[in-house]
Amino acid sequence: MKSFTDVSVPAVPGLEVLLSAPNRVTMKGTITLQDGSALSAFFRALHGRARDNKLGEVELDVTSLRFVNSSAIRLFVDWAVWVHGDGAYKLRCRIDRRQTWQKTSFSALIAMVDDAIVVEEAS
Amino acid sequence: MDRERKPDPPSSSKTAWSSHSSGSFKSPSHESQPASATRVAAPLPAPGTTVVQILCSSGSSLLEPTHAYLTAYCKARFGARASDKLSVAIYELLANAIAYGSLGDVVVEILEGTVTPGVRVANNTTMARIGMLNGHVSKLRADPGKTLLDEMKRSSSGTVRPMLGLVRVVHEVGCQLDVSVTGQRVVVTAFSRG
Repeated sequence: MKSFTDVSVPAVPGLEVLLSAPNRVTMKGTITLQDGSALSAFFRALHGRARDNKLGEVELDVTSLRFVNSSAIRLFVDWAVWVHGDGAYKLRCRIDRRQTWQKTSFSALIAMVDDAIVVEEAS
Repeated sequence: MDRERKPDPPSSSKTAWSSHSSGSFKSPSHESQPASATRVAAPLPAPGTTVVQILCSSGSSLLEPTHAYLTAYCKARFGARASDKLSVAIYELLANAIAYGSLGDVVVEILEGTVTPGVRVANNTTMARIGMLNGHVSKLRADPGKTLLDEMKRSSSGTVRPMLGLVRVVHEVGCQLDVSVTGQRVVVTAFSRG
């Protein structure tokens, strides 16, 4: 069985992605992609791996993700929708409420798919 | 790219498409200077004065470097708090103009307002897109939170909607948004609310 941390991380300018066992994804920097296909494929791979490995939860830490464009927000929406559709695990999102995009976007995500994600605010 | 400019006079040639404002955008006016025997510093720019203007074209690849430059400029001039909000507005308005503008210059300006700074982006576009824009701005004015939710749901269907950007400008960073149309020229202005 392939590990969650074995998923290949795409090279995205301005973005640092760290995968740590057993189920954590940390994203730092910025996402200003016009073409989100590489990150979308990455999120899809993580989703598949979490489901196949029967992880009860994936932790997504975006506290250090300072700026994202609308295309990037769509990627998080997609991931939440996949999780909602499969029902295989929960996506626990760690946010910094001082980052307005995180507070607004993840609040909206809860309204969309509240059974799929949990949002916790970093202290 | 920085240049001193006199404030623009109020527009007098608007078409039947009225300005959809979530607040008023006052045209810059000339403040009278108090009488004083000496002046030791240059007077502040008049309200709504353009302090930076950049021209590019629709479809250009200048979005990222322009955004990076303007964000850094705003941070230096207006402080981190204001620039963080403006940064979202700069990116989303300019991204829309470059992606959906038609032939002609895209003009992005940083404005020094009476209280807070702002950004103004102007571009030509098609009448069909102007119609879409007006419809969207109406929904945004009525209920920004619901519009954000609606646009996020639509974005998951596989099509990146340009309107998610405008919603972010209003709902996420709380900017005051004004849209003005003259013929096929659209001018979108966002002022930080402080």
